[in-house]
Amino acid sequence: MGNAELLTSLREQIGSNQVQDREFWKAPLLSSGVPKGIIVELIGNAYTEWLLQFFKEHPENYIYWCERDSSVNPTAIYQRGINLERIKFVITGDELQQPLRLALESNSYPFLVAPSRFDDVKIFQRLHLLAEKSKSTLFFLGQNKFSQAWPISLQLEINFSSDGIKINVHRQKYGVNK
Amino acid sequence: MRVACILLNTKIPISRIAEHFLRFSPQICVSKEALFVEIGRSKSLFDESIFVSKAKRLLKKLNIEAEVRIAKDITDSLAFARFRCDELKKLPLNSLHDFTDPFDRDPALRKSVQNLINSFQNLGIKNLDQFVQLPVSDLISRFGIVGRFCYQRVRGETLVNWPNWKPDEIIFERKEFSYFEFYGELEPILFELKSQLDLIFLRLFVRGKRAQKMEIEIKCEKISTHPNYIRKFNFNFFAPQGSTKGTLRIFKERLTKEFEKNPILSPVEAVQTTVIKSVHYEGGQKNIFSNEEEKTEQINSLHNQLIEILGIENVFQAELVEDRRPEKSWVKRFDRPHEAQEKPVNVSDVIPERPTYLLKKPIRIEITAGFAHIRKKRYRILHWDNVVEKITGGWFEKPTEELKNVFDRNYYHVEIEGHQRITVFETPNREYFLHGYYG
Repeated sequence: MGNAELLTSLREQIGSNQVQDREFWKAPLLSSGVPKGIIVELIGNAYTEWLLQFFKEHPENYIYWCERDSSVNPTAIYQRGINLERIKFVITGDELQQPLRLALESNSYPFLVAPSRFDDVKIFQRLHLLAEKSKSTLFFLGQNKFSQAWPISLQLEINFSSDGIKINVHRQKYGVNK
Repeated sequence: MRVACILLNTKIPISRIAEHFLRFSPQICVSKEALFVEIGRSKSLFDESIFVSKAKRLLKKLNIEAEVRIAKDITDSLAFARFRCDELKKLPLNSLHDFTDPFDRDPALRKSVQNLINSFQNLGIKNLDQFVQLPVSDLISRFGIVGRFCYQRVRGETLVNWPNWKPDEIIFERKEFSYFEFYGELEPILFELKSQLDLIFLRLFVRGKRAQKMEIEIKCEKISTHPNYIRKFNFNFFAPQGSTKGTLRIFKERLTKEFEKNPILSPVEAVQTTVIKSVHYEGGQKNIFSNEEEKTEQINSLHNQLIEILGIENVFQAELVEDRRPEKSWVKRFDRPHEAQEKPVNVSDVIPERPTYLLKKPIRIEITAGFAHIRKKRYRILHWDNVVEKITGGWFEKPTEELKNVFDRNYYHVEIEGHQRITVFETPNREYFLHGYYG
């Protein structure tokens, strides 16, 4: 049980769980789901596999996939059951903030994927506000360590294990989907 | 009637050239390769030789190669220009195409006329002089209506209708500022551009059009320390623009970059926005039951802005192609975003599962007993999948030549410590390369 789940269960025991009015996306291997309009940070060696399973469960929505250099393999994405017409690939180089801001402002992409490259909390704050307004979920793909920035509402460590994919919830601000 | 034909040897949009000839006469028409100017009614202003010399000078200035000839009709002048001849009788029989279909609109007629030309050439009739001497009754009996039509056109008994041509309407807005109003900061310019775009899009909307190409001209005060006092910015939009909001963002991107590089050093005197090219747009009433149209517009607008910031090569859709090599199994598509693609082959049935990430270039690795050495680090191998995918090719295309791009790889799926799954391929020289990983 991760820290966030432990915290949620303890809150439930003392009856202090706040009622959420947020909408949630159904997510594989994560019973609580993923809230809409938040920033999610993923680390581990299986986050893309999990993310593709998640996108497969929501086949109607467009995906905005940012990368520094082109490295994700579209053939693999198609093999995981995702229609490539849904995905707009954007190679941002060092210019990540503006393409993300434009996509969030356009309200056209419910899912955004980007490498986790920001340190400044103000940037996260700005993106969080835009995500909340557009009800888009922004997935940041991290490397080894979670960011400390408070606007990130959900942090998941996703790894391959001998039993398949395993998720450890590191931070979960909006609790369980009621 | 006197018609001047300007037959272009240079490939260029004819409408653009035709506009320049409006100074000679308002009666102009264009075909795919030539433009025709009626100069008979302007003879009190200039005679034909003056027209020819002025036209040649103009064409030279525009850097266009063309043949200019004058005759009594469109058909005659076109045939003269094409065959560089001034006498009707000397024109070859092939010129019948110019007499029958000068605007190149009717492929069936051209085919019939070509049959007629071939038949007469076999009979030894080489030019129009010989052709017009033939009895018209023979022409009708042999070639029917086409024969009579050719005969009448060559003798000038039927005239070609003069098709309507109007120069493209130019939509532009301009604002001149009073002296020393501001020193070229971006915000006031954007403020002015916004009001200009509002007017421009209103004008386009009532015409049922959208802007495809636009130009902004910023004119500053001419001073010795500011050599580039007129700045022009051309915008060729990926998707036609119909709203101020999206277009202004694109303008802002470009102007911000430009002003950072080359700041404006003298007061701005005027800002002008011109629509260079507009395209037809099927408007109509808003669909209150579906916002699909608005969504598409938003996505196109975003696409335009991304192209402006990142370049067209960095904003794309992916399309699968039939190539076994993982790195060549897909291509970038730069056309309309999220447009339906042709259904790809069911790759899951044909090829094994691919890794989610591919390295730009495969990395040479060492495999020793139970370990993989990647970038000078040693990783314990937990599982080596014995299912081999063999990819080979290149050799069968040119079997006799030595080719550089021949490939022969045996792919293996490997799980290393930390349950990290990777894809490794082996070459015929027993060298191992890391090509991708599951993430």
